[in-house]
Amino acid sequence: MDKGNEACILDNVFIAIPLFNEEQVVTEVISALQKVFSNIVVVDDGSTDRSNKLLCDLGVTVISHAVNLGQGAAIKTAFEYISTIEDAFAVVTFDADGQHSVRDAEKLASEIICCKEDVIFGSRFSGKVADVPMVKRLILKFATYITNFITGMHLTDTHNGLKALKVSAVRKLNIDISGYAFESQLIMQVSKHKLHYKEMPTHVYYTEYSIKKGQSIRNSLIIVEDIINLWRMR
Amino acid sequence: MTLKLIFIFLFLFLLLYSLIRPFPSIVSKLFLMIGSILGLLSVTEFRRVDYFASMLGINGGKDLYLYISFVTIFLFIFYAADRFKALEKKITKLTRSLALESVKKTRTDEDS
Repeated sequence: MDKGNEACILDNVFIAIPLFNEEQVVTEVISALQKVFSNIVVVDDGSTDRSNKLLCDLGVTVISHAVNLGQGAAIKTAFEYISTIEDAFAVVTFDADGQHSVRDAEKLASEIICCKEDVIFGSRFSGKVADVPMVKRLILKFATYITNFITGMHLTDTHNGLKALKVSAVRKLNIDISGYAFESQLIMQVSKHKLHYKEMPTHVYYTEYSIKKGQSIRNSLIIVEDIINLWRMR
Repeated sequence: MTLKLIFIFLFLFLLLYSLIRPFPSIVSKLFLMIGSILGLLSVTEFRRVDYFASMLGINGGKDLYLYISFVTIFLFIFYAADRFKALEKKITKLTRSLALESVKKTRTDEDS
């Protein structure tokens, strides 16, 4: 596919970014995405720093929550908004802290247009094994094993923020968990609605900033909370 | 004796209050009514409470009240958590609809 044609097709793909207090990296992350994607929807989840002002200057669609609700609620808002856009074909979720690669998002976007699957999950462990810290890798593997056991899915990475979904699939999902546990609920819903899915390898950059923001080992405990939620949702 | 009288008046007032005041749910009414009766009994008829407790196989009235308190606290926490969750959902829905309304308005303004 030539570059021009690809860019034209990607016009129907929307990038959904939940964001909370990311003034340090937001300009860099959005600018990099704007080189490839023309439709970027950022949900500012009640930021108290300059993120909102910076976003308004960047020329992307900004949806502002008056108060901080959580990553799940922000994603759901983005999904609801994109679902109302007539020519929207797919959504790619992307973290605002700069840990994802734009190239990976582009690959996922191109693939979701062509493939028959409804959802593509990004995976750090599919293909070449990523440079994930040892303890985090163990926790992620454990979480993945349990999640697969409960949902009957076959995923290698259940907690990756980079994923692509067709809008037709998004309309079927009913996410009502506001916090991080929405990831588990999303997987549960994909399983429940028998949506077709596959995985694609993605890279995660563990920068000093992203580790400080939310990739610390302590935050991995949230994943354990996710598993408890999965049992509850069954 | 004065303290005992104060407690008797307090529980009688609560009992009367629970009978007169209109409550949104019967559970709240019963909660205050039973609570005030139990309080009144604990001050005036503790021997009978002791007797009743021993009939139930509990060591004494104090233990019975302790168990009732524990159950009440747990029920209250459960009820409060449930209410909190419902409230959180309402706030989320409201915040989201306001945010979406605002962005749609901006989009319409830009289009026109």
